Amino acid sequence: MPIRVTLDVMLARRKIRAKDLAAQIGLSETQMSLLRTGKVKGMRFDTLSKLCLILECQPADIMEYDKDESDLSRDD
Amino acid sequence: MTASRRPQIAGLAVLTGLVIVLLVINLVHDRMSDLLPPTAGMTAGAKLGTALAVMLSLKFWIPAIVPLAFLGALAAVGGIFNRLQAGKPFDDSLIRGVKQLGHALIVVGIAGCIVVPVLTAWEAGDYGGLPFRLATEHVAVGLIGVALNLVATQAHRLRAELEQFV
Repeated sequence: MPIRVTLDVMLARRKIRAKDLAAQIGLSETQMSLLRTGKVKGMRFDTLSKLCLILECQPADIMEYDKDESDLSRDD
Repeated sequence: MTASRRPQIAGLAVLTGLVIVLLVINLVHDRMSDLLPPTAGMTAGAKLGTALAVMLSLKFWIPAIVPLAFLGALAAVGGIFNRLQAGKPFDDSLIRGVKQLGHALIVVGIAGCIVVPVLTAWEAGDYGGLPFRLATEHVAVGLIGVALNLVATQAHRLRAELEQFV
């Protein structure tokens, strides 16, 4: 997956536990765990907005893109 | 489902219920006319005996097969409208409802094209071959059922994919 979720870094910076963050934005602990480990296909904009609001950051602070030329030919 | 659509969906749910009741009344009336033919001079016991004998015959039930299959389809439609009216999201129960409707319509198609003609032939003592009757309306209903089933399967896949988005 060329998009890496770097939520753990921001959680450590803000000294917020993943469990508390999940409760605040209305995600289950399982969903939060999947998100942190990058095992999800995507993130809804409203989830992203809530994360940015609570962590006081920008989207780029919690995810990164690794350049991959094969992305253009990827179907799913 | 938006809240503004709910009254319309509620109306459709009521209409479906009404159609089910009318279909049941029509079916019972139709079968009762076969069950209780005008029999002047018969005793009550003889009438009951005749009625039971008719009910135990295949001939009595054959005309009820397709209407009963349609009743199953209408029940599935009612279930879908009720779920939509309750404001439930596009969840697994709604997909199951669409799948049930598809199955019920396939049963209507198979009943109309194969089961009823075969049973009618057997009842008439013709046991040779499989007398299909490919009536356009039954084939069309069966195909709609197949299409709904395929759509429900795709919807299930889409639903599973959506769950991978947080």
